[in-house]
Amino acid sequence: MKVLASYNIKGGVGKTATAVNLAYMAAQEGYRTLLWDLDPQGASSFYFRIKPKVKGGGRGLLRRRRPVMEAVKETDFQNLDLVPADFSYRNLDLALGRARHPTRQLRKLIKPLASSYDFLFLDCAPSVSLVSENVFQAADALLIPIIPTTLSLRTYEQLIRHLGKSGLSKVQRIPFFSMVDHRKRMHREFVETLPRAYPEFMDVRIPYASQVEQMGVRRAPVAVFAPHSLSGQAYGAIWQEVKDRLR
Amino acid sequence: MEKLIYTVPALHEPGAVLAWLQSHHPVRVEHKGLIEKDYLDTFDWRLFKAGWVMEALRNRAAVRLVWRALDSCEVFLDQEFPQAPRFAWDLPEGPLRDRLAPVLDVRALLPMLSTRTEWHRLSILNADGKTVLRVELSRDRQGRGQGGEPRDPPTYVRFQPLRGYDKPYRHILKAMRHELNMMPCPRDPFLELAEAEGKAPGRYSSRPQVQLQPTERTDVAAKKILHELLDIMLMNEDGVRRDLDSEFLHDYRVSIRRTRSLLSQVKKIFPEQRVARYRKEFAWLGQVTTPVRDMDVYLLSIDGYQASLPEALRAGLEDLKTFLVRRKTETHAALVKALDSARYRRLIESWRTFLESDVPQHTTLANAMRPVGEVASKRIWKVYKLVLKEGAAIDRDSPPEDVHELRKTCKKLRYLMEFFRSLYPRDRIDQLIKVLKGFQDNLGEYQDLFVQQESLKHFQEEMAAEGGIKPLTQKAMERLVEDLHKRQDQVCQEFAERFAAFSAKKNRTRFAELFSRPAPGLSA
Repeated sequence: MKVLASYNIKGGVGKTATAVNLAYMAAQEGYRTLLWDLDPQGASSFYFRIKPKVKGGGRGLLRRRRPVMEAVKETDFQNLDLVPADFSYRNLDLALGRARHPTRQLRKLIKPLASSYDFLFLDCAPSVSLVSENVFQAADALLIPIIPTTLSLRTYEQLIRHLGKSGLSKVQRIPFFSMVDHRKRMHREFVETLPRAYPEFMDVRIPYASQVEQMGVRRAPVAVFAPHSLSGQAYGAIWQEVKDRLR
Repeated sequence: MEKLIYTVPALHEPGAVLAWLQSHHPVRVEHKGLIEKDYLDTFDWRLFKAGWVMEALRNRAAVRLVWRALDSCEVFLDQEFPQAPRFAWDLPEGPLRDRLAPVLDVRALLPMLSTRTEWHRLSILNADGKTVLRVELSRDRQGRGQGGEPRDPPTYVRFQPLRGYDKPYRHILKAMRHELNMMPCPRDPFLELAEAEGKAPGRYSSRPQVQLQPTERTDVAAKKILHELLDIMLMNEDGVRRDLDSEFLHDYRVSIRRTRSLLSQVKKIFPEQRVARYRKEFAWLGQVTTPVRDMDVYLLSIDGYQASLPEALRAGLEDLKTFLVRRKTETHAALVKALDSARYRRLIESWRTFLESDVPQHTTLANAMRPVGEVASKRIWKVYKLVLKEGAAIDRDSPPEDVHELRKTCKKLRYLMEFFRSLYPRDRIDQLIKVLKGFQDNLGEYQDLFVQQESLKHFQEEMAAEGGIKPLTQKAMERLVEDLHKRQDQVCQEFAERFAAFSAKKNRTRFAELFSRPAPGLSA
């Protein structure tokens, strides 16, 4: 099982759209796929029309009162399951802090899932916290959507420094541009220059498009209602490259 | 395991079940109407033998594949495709293909049973519009059973519960059982349909399975075996003509080879003149099938060849592939022509008449009336001793022809043991067949490697003569021949060890115990 975390310190950059769309594509290809909505806001759960509720809450899972598998809900799509968000996830840091190895709890929790799934996508809440430390420990790769702006670049650099300090520089980083608006000069410039400094940036970009916003209305991945749209195809291309990089 | 297929005896139309569901729950109808339903399997029922069922539900636009376990109905795949995959390699790369490929191997998925079905696919929704249960309602078209009696197929209800939504599933199940008198389906609908159509899934075998009595006349026993071989040939003929996959021709050819082997191995049971004619005709038939089989073998190997080469040379084999595909088309056309010929028709008709005619009451043929249990042991024992003799004479300097000769003798022995398998205690003869097979694998690989090198050289010449060969292709093919030669040397070195294992005292004793005397059940 490969673990892919959709992560950025910054919020509102397209993390949930990335996790939801890529997980859907993996499932469509026949991979047994699980998406864990770690964000207490529960956007991923909402997109799949699944109630953001886990029996016993985040603490119940952490204390292993219930196996994660019991919280799993099958989505309307073949091969795609979801662990819903729960509002109690907002206190996950506190619960983690009380554990013996506070940064390796998630890794332990997901271990039993390895035989049931080929891919686990983690949709993370923005911030740097104990939860994100856990995500770094558990993930094989970080999918990092980045809006081409100065602030976004700063947070990306913060992330690299942070991973280095935590001895996690080996976690594969897969950054790509998200919500790119070609009418904006700054977007065009960043998209042009940034990959020179950071060659790990993907060539594919997610354009700023109404289809992605439509996900909230349609409550489904883009590829379901607009597979041939620019953003639908961009997510497809990103998924192909992510698979290549994982090999 | 939990049953997921039910029937509703009281309601004959899927529409009635749908109406009931709609009056109790929000239902989204994903599909409603007549479709063509094929049950896909390989010609030799590999999926069925693995405990699986593959349904292909076709309408004009697409085909929906439902791959599930027989009876328990655990669903592994439920997905739409633009068209049904024929081979494992037509499936998209991924875990499903990984699971299916080793079972299918090189065989094609074919519609083995077909029917037209009234088919409704429904999603039961909750208040958020989330699917909490999938339900399929289906009813095969009415028809006539085998004996001509009208068939009135039931309405099947197949549930696909969704993980995490057990409660609504239990609730609906309970209500339907109570209010509609829905009952678990006693047998998989696939098996019901097979029975109605008079098909016996899993029955095909590429080997004769005839049950012989040790006391019966050898000519009678031989005719039984030969008839079964003829049946196997004819069962495969359609697939050979339509080139559905490579194994139709393979099984067809093996049956020819077995027929010829029996005719030449068990002598003095049929009039020599007749036998000579059939031997000649079957030799002809074997010959006309060889060029296509050769192309099949190389086409199936080419991906492996490509993978074995260094990256830079791989593209060199593309031209070889094109060449082989063209050759395959030509040779297959020639084969179909042979199968359409009067010569072939006459052979099959006269052979069948001969096999179905009664054996003579009196005969001067020495072995015709002897009990088969006696003739079989004698013949097997003799060929076995020949294998030992030929094997012992082979050393590192022996020419490939000697190994080839030994391989042929081993094949004769193998066929004899398989023809007469039912005369001996099953576990003991199977054990010896296995021992022989282990030895044959070594000889077979050696021979195959030798033949492949020769053929590749030959193809190079032909390609050069037909319009030139690119330097890269030339280089790639030469490299292949080199690699094959190296592998052949390795296999050759393994020979001594394999032969020693085959001819070990323990095995010699076992062979002697079984074949140096008549088959059990005959008073000496």
